[in-house]
Order: sequence, then C-alpha cells, then structure tokens
Amino acid sequence: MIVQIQKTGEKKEVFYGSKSVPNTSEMHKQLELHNKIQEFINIANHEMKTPVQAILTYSELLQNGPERNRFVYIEAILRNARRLQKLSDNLLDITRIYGQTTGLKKEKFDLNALISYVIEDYRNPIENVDYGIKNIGIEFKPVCKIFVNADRDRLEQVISNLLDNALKFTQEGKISILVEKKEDNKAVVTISDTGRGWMLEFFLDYLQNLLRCQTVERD
Amino acid sequence: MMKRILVVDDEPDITTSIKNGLERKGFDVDAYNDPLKALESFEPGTYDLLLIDIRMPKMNGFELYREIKKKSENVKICFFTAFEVYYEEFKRVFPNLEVKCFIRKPITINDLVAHINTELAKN
Repeated sequence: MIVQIQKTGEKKEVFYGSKSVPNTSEMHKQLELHNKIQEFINIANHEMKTPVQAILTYSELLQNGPERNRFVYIEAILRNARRLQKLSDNLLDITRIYGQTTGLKKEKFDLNALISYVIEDYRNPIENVDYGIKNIGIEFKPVCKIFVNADRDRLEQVISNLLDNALKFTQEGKISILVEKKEDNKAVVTISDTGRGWMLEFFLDYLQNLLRCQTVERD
Repeated sequence: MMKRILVVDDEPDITTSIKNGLERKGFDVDAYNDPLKALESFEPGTYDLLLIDIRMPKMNGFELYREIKKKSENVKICFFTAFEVYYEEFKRVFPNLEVKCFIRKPITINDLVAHINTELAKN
C-alpha cells in the first residue's frame, strides 16, 4: 500500500494489486513495487539535489564576489532552475501515471515536422551546455510528411527524453533519427547513437522490473 | 601555504562553481568531470584532500578512490554526494576503504570549507 498525497492535500490510499486480502505472492509483488518506487524516489532526490547545489553555489558566488562573471553565473542559475523545473514536471507525470489520471490528447500532425522542431534545440551548442561542448552530429533526413494521430506534447517529451539520454551517454560520433512508415498504418521512430549503450544484463533486468510493475498494476 | 584540493564530479556546473567558491576561500583547486582523466592525471603527493562525487559515469567515486589509493596510500578524501550514504552500509560493501567523511549536497561554501578544514586537521 502506498499513501499518495493529492493536489488537495487529502491523503488517498492507493492499492497496487488485488482489493481482496493479498496472498504471499501478491504481497511479495507489492513489496517489490514499493521498493522500486523507493529506489526511484532516491534517484529523483539525487537528480534534484545536483541543480540545487549548482544554484546555491553560483548564488553565493554572485552575492559575495566581483561582478566580472555575473552574466555567466546568472546563466548557470537559470539553466539549473530550468533543469529543476523539467525534473519536477517529470515527477508530476509519474504521479499522474500511477494515479491513472493521464489522458492522451490526440490530434493529427506531421511527425517529421515535430522531430525537426525538437532537434533544433539540441543542434544549438548554447542550449546544449548541460553536456559540455561535444562534437556530436544529429542526423535526421525526412523524405516526406508523415501524418500521425497522437498526443503531440507527449510525443515531443518522449523524443526529447531519448535525445537527452543519447547526448548524455555519447562521447563522440553521431545520433541518428529514422522515421519509417509501416504497412499497417503505423510509424516507427528509431533513435540510435554511437554511445556505449546498455549492458545486456542491465537491460534485461530493467525490462524484467518494468514488466513486473506493469503486471502488478494490471492485477 | 595554500592547501590543494582535487574535485571530481561529472556535473560541469558543480565543478565550476565549487572550484570558484573554494578558490575564493584560499584553496588551490583542480577539477575534473571525467573520473578516468582525474585518475590518469593524479600524481602522489600533489593534493591535500580529494573531494569526489559518488555517482559518475565510467567510474564511480568508490572505484576512483580505490584506484587512487593504489597510487597514494595516505591520501585524504571526502565523498561529496547527493545520495544518502550510511557509513555502516559503506563499511559492509567496502570493508578495506577507510572513509569517514561524507559531505551531502546541497551545502554552502562556508559549510563545505568547515568540513574540509576538519578533515585536513586530522592526523
């Protein structure tokens, strides 16, 4: 059982699993899910403290120091504040997913135009300071328009997250984006990079955990 | 004489700001974002204290410290981390690493300097 605080501040008890008295196997699943959530909170906590540390120290430097680096420090504070905002939005999304209050707002739009729009930010080295200046190219050559019926904001978020990850773990080379139109009226977006990739064992473990969590939710 | 500190953290904003902050307080600071480069450049006897992040790509802070210890047995270290680290748990996983200084982010420069000075004052 996880206690969730809703927007109103009211406490809501959320059961992940059957509403009947859980058996040992279900209790084990719930405990595992609880541990995963705990682990996620620890990582989210870590991710948030890093930009807070940067904002704190740059602010101290501004408060006590000479003016010559003023612009650089303010830029760094803004950059880290934006990073915090993004993390906070992601956390809110996860809360919505667990609370099953996320709905998709589908509309018709050109998938290639959306991807071009998203990667523009990543091609700009000034916007890309989080990762340092790296010599990484982003390869995307759309041939034609591909119209999809999907949630534009969510899709933008997914592509942005995948690009973020690819940039973070790619030291040199390139990131390639390929959009394919499939026969069954589907479009497939493939993002590949020349980074180290995931270790197979880690990837399998991750998938296993993901499947386990989904199974518990469906129950 | 200025005390020399080595800062290793994969976040450029952390190394830049902490380096500037400590330099204003009179320390001589070298900073690296890549733990492998920090290890490669490390020369025994250069630094009075290491300030090392734990969660880093390529090599985590514990591994870096273990490798540095092979080059310089008596080097002093403080782990600088946003993670909750429990000393007993750390001792269980790394029984041969003698570390008692864990500094938790976020921290002000003045408090960081106080931690560093406490560690430097130890024999």
